[in-house]
Amino acid sequence: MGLRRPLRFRRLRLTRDGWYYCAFAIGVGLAALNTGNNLLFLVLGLQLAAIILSGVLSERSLRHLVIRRELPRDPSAGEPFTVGLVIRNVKPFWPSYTLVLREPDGPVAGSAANALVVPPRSEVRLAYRARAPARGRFELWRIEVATRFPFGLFEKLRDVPIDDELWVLPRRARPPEGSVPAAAHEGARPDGRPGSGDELWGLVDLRPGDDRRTVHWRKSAAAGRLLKVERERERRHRVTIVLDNRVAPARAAALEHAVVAAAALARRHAARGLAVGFACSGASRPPDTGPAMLRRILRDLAVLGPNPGGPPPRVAPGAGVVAVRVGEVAG
Amino acid sequence: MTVDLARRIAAHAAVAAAFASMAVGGVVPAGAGMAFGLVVAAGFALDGRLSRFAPVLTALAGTALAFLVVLTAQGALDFVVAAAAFAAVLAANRVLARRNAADDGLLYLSALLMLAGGAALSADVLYAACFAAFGVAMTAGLTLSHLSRAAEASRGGRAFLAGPASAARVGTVLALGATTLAGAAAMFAFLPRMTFGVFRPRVAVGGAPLTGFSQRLRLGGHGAIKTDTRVMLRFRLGSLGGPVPTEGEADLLWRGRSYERYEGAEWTKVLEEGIAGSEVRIDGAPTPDARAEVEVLPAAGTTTVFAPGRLASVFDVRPATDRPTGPWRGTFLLADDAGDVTLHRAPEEGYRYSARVALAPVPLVYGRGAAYPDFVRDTYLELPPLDPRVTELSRSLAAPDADPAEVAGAVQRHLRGLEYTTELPGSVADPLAHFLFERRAGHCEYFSTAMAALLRARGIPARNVTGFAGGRYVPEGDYWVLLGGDAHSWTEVYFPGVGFASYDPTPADARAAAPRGFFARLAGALDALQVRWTATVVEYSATDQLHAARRALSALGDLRDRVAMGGLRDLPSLPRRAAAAAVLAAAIAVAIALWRPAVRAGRTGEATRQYLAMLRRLRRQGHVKPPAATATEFCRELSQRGHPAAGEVTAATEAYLAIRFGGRQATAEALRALWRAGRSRPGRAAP
Repeated sequence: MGLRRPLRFRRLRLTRDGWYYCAFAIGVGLAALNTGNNLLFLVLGLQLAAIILSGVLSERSLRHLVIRRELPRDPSAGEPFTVGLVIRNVKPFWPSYTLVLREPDGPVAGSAANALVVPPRSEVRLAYRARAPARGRFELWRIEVATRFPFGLFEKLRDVPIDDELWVLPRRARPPEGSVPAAAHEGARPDGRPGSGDELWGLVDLRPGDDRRTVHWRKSAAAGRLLKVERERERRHRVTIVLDNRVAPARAAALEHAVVAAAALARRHAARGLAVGFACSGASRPPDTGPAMLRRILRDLAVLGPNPGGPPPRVAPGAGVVAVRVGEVAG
Repeated sequence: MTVDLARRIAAHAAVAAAFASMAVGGVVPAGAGMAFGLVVAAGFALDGRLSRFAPVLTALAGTALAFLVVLTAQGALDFVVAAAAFAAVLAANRVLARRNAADDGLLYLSALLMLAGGAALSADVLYAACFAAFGVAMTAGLTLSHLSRAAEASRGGRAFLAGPASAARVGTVLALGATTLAGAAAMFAFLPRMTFGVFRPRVAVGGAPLTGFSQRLRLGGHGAIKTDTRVMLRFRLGSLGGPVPTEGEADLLWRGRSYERYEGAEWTKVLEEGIAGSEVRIDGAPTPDARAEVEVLPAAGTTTVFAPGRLASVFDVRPATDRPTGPWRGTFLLADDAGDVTLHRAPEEGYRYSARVALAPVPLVYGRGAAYPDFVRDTYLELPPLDPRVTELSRSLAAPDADPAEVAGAVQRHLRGLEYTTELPGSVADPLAHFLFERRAGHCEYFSTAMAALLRARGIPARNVTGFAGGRYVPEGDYWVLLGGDAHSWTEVYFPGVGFASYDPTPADARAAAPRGFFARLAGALDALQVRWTATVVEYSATDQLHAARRALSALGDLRDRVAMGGLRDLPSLPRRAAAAAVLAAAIAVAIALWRPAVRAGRTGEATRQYLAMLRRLRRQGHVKPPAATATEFCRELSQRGHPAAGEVTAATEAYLAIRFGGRQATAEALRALWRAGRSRPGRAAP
C-alpha cells in the first residue's frame, strides 16, 4: 500500500470536439483582431460565453454529491465481483447530469459506472464488475467523479474522498494432495463422556428439571418409569495450518503458491467442520470454528509476505498440524 | 416531441440560422439558398439514412472545395465569399452524412464557420436575428446532443431518448440559450478592441442596386420598383429660415439626375460633368431655406447626390461609416450645367453629405415669355420623329398663343387624367404613342416623358428628371427615409428668369402605389433598428468602451454624491436604480454562493493534508499507524502506549474525521489544532 496522493480539487480535459471548438475560437479571435470586425467579436463572445456556461454547469453537476461504496465481502483474487455505488444528490433544486464514476486506485482501478441524471434530493444506485488480480488489503480512499455536461466539450473531474477497505483473499484452488493429517478426521469424534453429541450414550431415569423432550417413551412404557436418552459428548478435530514464511523476498512466487495452498486447506477444513488455526512467522491463531475464524485466517494469508528475519511459527498444542512449506506441502 | 426529435430540430435550426446569417448579406444567390434549404430539410427528414453515402458526399464536398479554390485563385471570387461558400458546402455534407448524436459536434462547428462567414459578409440588422437564433439553437442542441450520447452509453438511456421532452426541459435548454446570448453580449462589450489590420478583405455588400440614376434611362425599366421597401436614403432636415416637415410624410421631390436627349424609347444624358472639388455651389440657385443631412445607402447603387427642392450647395462628403473596409482615399464631386451632382467614387458602405436647398415653391412662372437662351434651345427642344398624333395632341391642349406656363399646366392636367399602372406594356414600336393613345396607362416615366415630349413639340424647353418623391419620418430613429418604392420621375420646364420648375404629371395613384401604411412603417422601424445596430454593434470601438466605462463610473459617482447629500429619497428614477441594485446584489450573492463552497472544499482538502502531516510527524517519533488500524484505533493505541500528546492527537483526529466525512465546516481553529497536534517531541514511547 503506497502513500496516498493528495486529493485533486478539479481537473479539466478537452474532448475531441472541445479541441476543435477551442481551435475555432482562437481562429475567430485572431480574425476579429486582424479585421476589427465587431461581428466577429460577437461570434467570439458567443463561444467564450458557451465555455463559461459549460464551466458553471459542470461545476453544479459535480457539487453536493454524497457517494458511498457497497463492497463485496472479501472477494478472492481472480474472481469477478460487483461493487455497488450509491450517489446521493443533496442539492435542493439542481440535478446532476451525465456523471461518470471511476476508480483510480487499487485492484479496481479503471472500473467505471455511469449515471445519466441524479435528480435533486435523490439517490441513484450503480454498479460495476471488477476482478482483483492479486490478494491483499487495499485502501480505496477516493473515487473520481467526472462529467462532460452540458456540451461535451470539456470533461471536468474531481476526487471525492471515500475511505473504504477491500480485502482480496488468496485465490481459490484445490488443496494439495496428501495434506490431511492421519490423525484428523472429518467432523467430530466421541469424547467418552455424556454430552450433547449425536451418538447414543445410554438411557437414564428422568430427573426433575430434565427436558421432557428427551424422554424415550417406548422404553419408558416398557420399563414402567420415565427414561430419557443421554448422548455422548463429542469433540471436534482441531488442525493448525502452519506456513513458515521466513523466506527471502526472491522466493515470493513460491511463497504465493504456498499461500494459495494454505488458503485452500483452511477453506476445506473449515467446510468439513474442523476447528482450524493458523501459524506463521509473526502471527498465530489457535484453532476455532466458524466463518469469522476462517475469514481471519484468510485475511492473515491475504497480507502474508516474506519475513526472513522473523521468529519461527508458534503452534498451539493439542491440534493436528498441517505444514505448508514454501515449495512443498507435508502433512 | 421526444428528446431525440428536439435534438434534431435544434441541430438543423442552428445550421439554417447560420446559413441565413450569410444570406442576409445578399451575396448568396437565391438558387443556392433554396438548394441549401432543401438539403437541410432532407437531412432532417432522412435522419442519417444517407450516411452510408458519406464517401460520395465527402468526394463531392472536396470537388466543390477545389472548384472554389480555382475560382479564388483566378480572382473570379472574393476570398471571404469563397470561404463562406466552403463553409456552406461543409455544413451540407455534415447534414446529409451524419449518423448519430456523435456527429453533431462537427455539424455545429461547420455552422459556426458559416456564422463567422456571415459576420464577414454582412452588417445587416437581420444578422442579429440569425445570430440570436443560432445562439439559442446551438446551446440547446449541444446540450441535448451530449445528453443523447451519454444516454446511449447508459442503462435506460433509450427510454430517456424516446421519452417526451417536457415543457420544463425545453424551457430549461431555451433558458440556457438565452443565458449564452446574454453572456455573448457581455463578452462583446468587454472584449478589448485591438486591430492588427494585417489582412482586411473587403466586405462584399450585396443586394440589387436601384436603377434609374445612370447615364441612360430606358422607358419601362422601373415598373417593379414600386414595391421595393428597402431604404435608399436617410435624411434629416434643418430649417435655415423656411418651414421644414417635422413628422408624418413629406411631400418633397428629391432631384437626382436629369436627361436631355429623348430618342424615342430612352433618355440620354449628354451634358458632360466637370470636376467641382469637395464642394459644389449651383450657379443661379435660389437662397437656401433648409439644410439636409443625407445618407445614401449601398442599396441605391449609385453615386448621385440627391437633394430636395432646389439644390444650392453640396459639401462635407464622407463615407457612411467611420470605419470603411478597404482603402478609402476620399472622393470629389462632379457637376454639370444641368445642376446634376455626382461623386467620382462612392464607398461600398454608402456615403453622406450635407446640402443647402430651397424648399419654397418656385415663384410665379406665368408671363415669363419664350425668350429662351440658345443653350437651352439647343439642349432641351430636340425631339426624334414623333407620331403625328403626339404633335396634334400637344397643339390641341392649349391655344397657340397660350403662355408657356398655361400650356405646361394644361399638359399636366391632361396627363393626370390618364391611368397609373406599374404593369409594363411589353415590346412596342413607339412606347410614347402607345401610352398616350392606345394603352392610356403607364408609370411615372411615361408620364414625365410624355409631358416633356408634348412641351418640346410646342417649342417649350423641358427635360426628364429622376429621383425620389416623398419621405417618411421614422420616430424610432428621429430621421426620415426614402424607400426604393419612392423612386420617381417627373418633368422640369424652363421659364426665362426663373430657370427650371418641376411639374409632376403622374396621377396621384402613383403615390398610393408607393409603399405606405404598415409595410412602410415596418420598413422605417427596421431601418431604425439597422441604424441602432450599426451604431451599437457594428461600429462599436475602443473609444465606445472607454466612454461606456466613464459613463458608468460617472453614474456611480453621481449616485454616491446624491446619497451622501440627500439620501435615497433624492434619487431620481428610483425603480430603475433599484432594479440595477437588485441585479448587482444578485450577482454578489451568486459570487458568494460559488466562492464559499470553493473555500470549504479547499479547507477540507487542507484538513486532509494537515492530518497526513500529523501522521508523518508521529511516524518520525516512532509511532507508526498500522495499515489495518483506523484513525480512531490508532489514537486509542497511542493512549495505551502512554503518548503524552495522545489527547491532542485524539482531538485533532476527531476534528479531521468530522470535517472530512461528517460535513462539518473546517474552521481555522480546527485547522490550527491539526497543525499543532504531534509537534511536541516527548521522546520515543516503549513498544
